[in-house]
Parts: sequence; C-alpha cells; structure tokens
Amino acid sequence: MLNHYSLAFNWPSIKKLLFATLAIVFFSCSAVKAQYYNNSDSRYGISIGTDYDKPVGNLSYTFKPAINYNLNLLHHYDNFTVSVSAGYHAFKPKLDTFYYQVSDTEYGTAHYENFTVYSFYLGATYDLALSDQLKIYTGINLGMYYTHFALQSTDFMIHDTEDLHEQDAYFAPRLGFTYMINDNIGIGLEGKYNFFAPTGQKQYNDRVGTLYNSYSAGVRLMFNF
Amino acid sequence: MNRTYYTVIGLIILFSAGCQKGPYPWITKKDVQKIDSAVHPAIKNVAFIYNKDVYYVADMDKPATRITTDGSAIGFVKMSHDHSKFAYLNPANRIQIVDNKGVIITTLSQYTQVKSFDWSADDQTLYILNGNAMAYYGPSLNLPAISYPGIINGSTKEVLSASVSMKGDFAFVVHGYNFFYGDKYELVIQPANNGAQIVYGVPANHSGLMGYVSFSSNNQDMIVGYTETEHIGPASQEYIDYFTDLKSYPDLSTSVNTDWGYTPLYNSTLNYIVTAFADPDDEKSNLIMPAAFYLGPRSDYADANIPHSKFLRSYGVSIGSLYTDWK
Repeated sequence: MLNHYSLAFNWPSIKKLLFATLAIVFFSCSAVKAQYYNNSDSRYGISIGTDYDKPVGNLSYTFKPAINYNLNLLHHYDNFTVSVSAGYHAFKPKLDTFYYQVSDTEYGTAHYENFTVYSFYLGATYDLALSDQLKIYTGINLGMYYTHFALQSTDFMIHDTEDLHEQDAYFAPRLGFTYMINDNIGIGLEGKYNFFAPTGQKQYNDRVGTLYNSYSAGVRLMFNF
Repeated sequence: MNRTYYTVIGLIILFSAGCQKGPYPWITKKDVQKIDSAVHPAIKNVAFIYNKDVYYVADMDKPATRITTDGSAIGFVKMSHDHSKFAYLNPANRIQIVDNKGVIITTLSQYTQVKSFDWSADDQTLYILNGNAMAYYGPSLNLPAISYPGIINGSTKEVLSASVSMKGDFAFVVHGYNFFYGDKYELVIQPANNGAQIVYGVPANHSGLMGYVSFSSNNQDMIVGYTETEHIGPASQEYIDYFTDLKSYPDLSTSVNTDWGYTPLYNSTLNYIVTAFADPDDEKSNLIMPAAFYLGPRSDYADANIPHSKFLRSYGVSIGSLYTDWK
C-alpha cells in the first residue's frame, strides 16, 4: 500500500532478497578467492570515504544533510569488485523546535535529536576500465542501518516522547569512478541513492512500512594490496 | 536482455516511489505567531487611575506609562481616541484635561454635577452629562433631547449616565421615582440615523439598579451596569448587560453578583471586557486591578491555546476601585 507517509514493505521478501544477495557476495568472494591464486587481476584493497548525504522525501522535511564516514574492504576480480563496508552519519534536525498545526487555534511543538545511523553493508560493482588508470563502475549496496531516533512532541492533548533504536534494511544503487594514481593508490568519486526502511513488526512499531531515502555523493581514497 | 529490462524497470519504480513526499508536516514560527495573535489579541490603549494618578498602557502585555504625577485624579478617566488627551475628575470633582505628558490643558470648573463624560469620535468635543443635561467642551454635538419614556408623570426624574457611540448613537439611563410606583430605571437609545427610539427596562426578576451605560470605541458595543444598592455618585457595577448593534435586548447578561469595576467597556469582536477586576486565580491577594477579562468559553484541556484574561498586577488595590478606559 502506498500513501503519503510510507511505502509498505513485504519484509519476508526483503529478508529473502538480503539473504540471496549475501549468498551471492559470499560465493563470489569464495570463487574469486579460489581463482585469485591463478589470476593476477584478483586483488584486495581498502578504502576510506566521506560522503555528503542528503535526505530526500519525508526525511528531508525534518533533517539536514549529514557527512558520512565509511570504511570499505574491497576485493577486485576481473571486472567486478565486492566490498564489506561500515559507516556512520548523523542527520541533524533543521530546527531546534518544529511546530505543527492541530486545529485552527491549536499547534504543537516537536523537538528532534540527531538521527544517527551506523551502517553495515555489502557491495558489488561492475567495473569498466576506460584506461589503465581510470575506471567507472556501477553496482549496489545491501545491508543494514542501525538508527537512533528520538523525539519529544507536545500539544494541548498529547505529550509524547519517543526514543527508538531500530534496524533498517538498506539498499542503494551506486555509480562512481576511480582514478589510480599509481599501482596501489587510487582516488574516486561515488554517488548513491539510499533506501532504508525500519524492520520489525508493524504492531510494535508504526514506522515499519516507512521508506526513507537519501542521496549521497563523496570521495574515496583507496589502497590496493 | 529481459533481466536488464526488469532491473531498469524495478529501479525506476523504486526511485519514483522513493521520491514521493507526503504533505509538509510543519508550520513556520510566523504561522504560529499568526495563530497566537488571532487567539490572543493584543488589548491596546487602556487608561486607568491608580493611586490618584492617570496611567496609559499602549498594550496590556507591555509596561504602563504614568501620565500625571500630582495625584489629582480621583475618578472617571476618559482618553481621546488618538490617546493624546486625558480627562478625569480632580479632587474638587471638576473635569481636568491633560495632554499625554500630564500637562494640564484645562480645568472645566463650570460643570459642578458631572455624572459621566467622554470624547466625541473626532476628539474635538468632550461631551458631559452635567446634572440632567448634556454639556460640551468643544463644538456641540447634535444630540436629541433627553426624554424619559416609561417614567410616569409626577415622578422625580434624573439622568444617571450617558454615552455616545462612534457613529453618533445616543444612549442614556434615566431614573424616575414615584411615591405610588416606586423606582423605575430605563435605558434609552436614540439611533444616529433617526431610527426608532429603543427603550430597555430592568427585567422584572432583576434585583440590580441600572445606573451606567457606555458605548465602546468599536462599533456599537455597549455595556449597561447595575449596582446592588442605590449609590450617591459612581459605584462598582455588580451586574452588567452586553448589548451589540443597538439591539433592544442584551446579547449576554451576567447573573452573578460580581465586582465589575466602575467603568467597564466591552468589545464583542475580541470578546473582552476591560475594567477593574480581581484575578480569579489569585484568591490570596484579592487585589482589584486593571484587567482585560476574556468572556469566551473555557477548554477542558489545561494546555489548550485559548485567550486568557490579562491583569496589570503592579496596579492592584485592595480597597476602592479603579477607573478604566479603553479606546
């Protein structure tokens, strides 16, 4: 069901998809490792990055863009790269106090704390070499967001406090390029469109079924072993 | 090929779904201020007498300005509509007029039986009920002659209070006493457009004695006040009737015996009365102070955003009453 506030998720399907992706990445890593010893194109690497992460959709009404920091373990094989990543960012509220209208004569106030996100995800990209030094790539990330969400809202009828730690399913198509300065060190730019949605049971959390979005763009510094 | 096609379609759907926004949930601080200013209107341009001096407050949420400093004001403050002149009774019961710096403009010593007075709409004339006749400081107003409808011939007759609306409607309270029929009080309204005279008598079940009438400075809102017992000179109103639009009956009558101050004024648009009043939430001090008292309904919710009464607590008195004006 699609409404103004949320996009419903079929959570069992998401879990299946997540499992399938993890399996694919796992087996591709295994396959890559099996061939690594026979193929000089197989290499490991590590990269650090920072992104400008801008909320879009409903999230953008309340939170400002955040700076994301991420660490990525990479495994290159032929034209593919798989990665294991961890990241952190915190969306800060746009205002100290938000106001919402209850009726013609009544309004309420809401105070948000930072919306913090710890992210853990797997990634897979297809790399297309444009030259010896430059390649572009496209792929996806799939994993989890661990978020903290806190809100106090007050109006003439309701005094509400929410302090939630949630797990969100995370998915992001990504596009970028990498420029190798030498055989080991490269720099890159990457853009992503991030989707994340609280998981759990709707009866315990009415935010289950909500789809949040952000897009991010940032730089990477990569070191290949 | 099919796989690529479905992937692209899937991504397009996901992106378009992700880009969807609900309605913006927040309102701005400016919107909040608009709501608040509509719910809590500013009560502006109030004058009052405190400790025998005249004060003026441009906005009841802000500090008052002391106009006179010589302790010469003992009753009935009436300020001009442009807030530049203040008329009041001095200790000799004569009307004294000062400017907004407290400088005396004149003292009207010729009027010795002043019962009520106020400024005309153009501020050029101070009309005065002196004895049972109208007098004018400034150009005369073309008011109809005072009449005593409903007062039986042979009764003693007097005019107790008079007021002229911004449109020129003339209202006055008359009293007649007849040995056989006793006292009779009537409110008489002569509309400015030469319309039919309106006469309103004290309801049969009303125990109060009608003695005060005053139009407000907006439209044709009017208060008629009653005292519990007969007084010589001004008295605090124990009951009041609220009239609007020159109706021949009040829109609202207070049935509870309450001290409504000497000179209450009503604004039906704001639904406030400005008078001297004790804060009902402050039962300890029981001080009477200049107040804008909200007449609308209360809410069941303690935190509801409803208009509230305003009290100038720095000007409370425990004995006696304050005279107020509201323009």
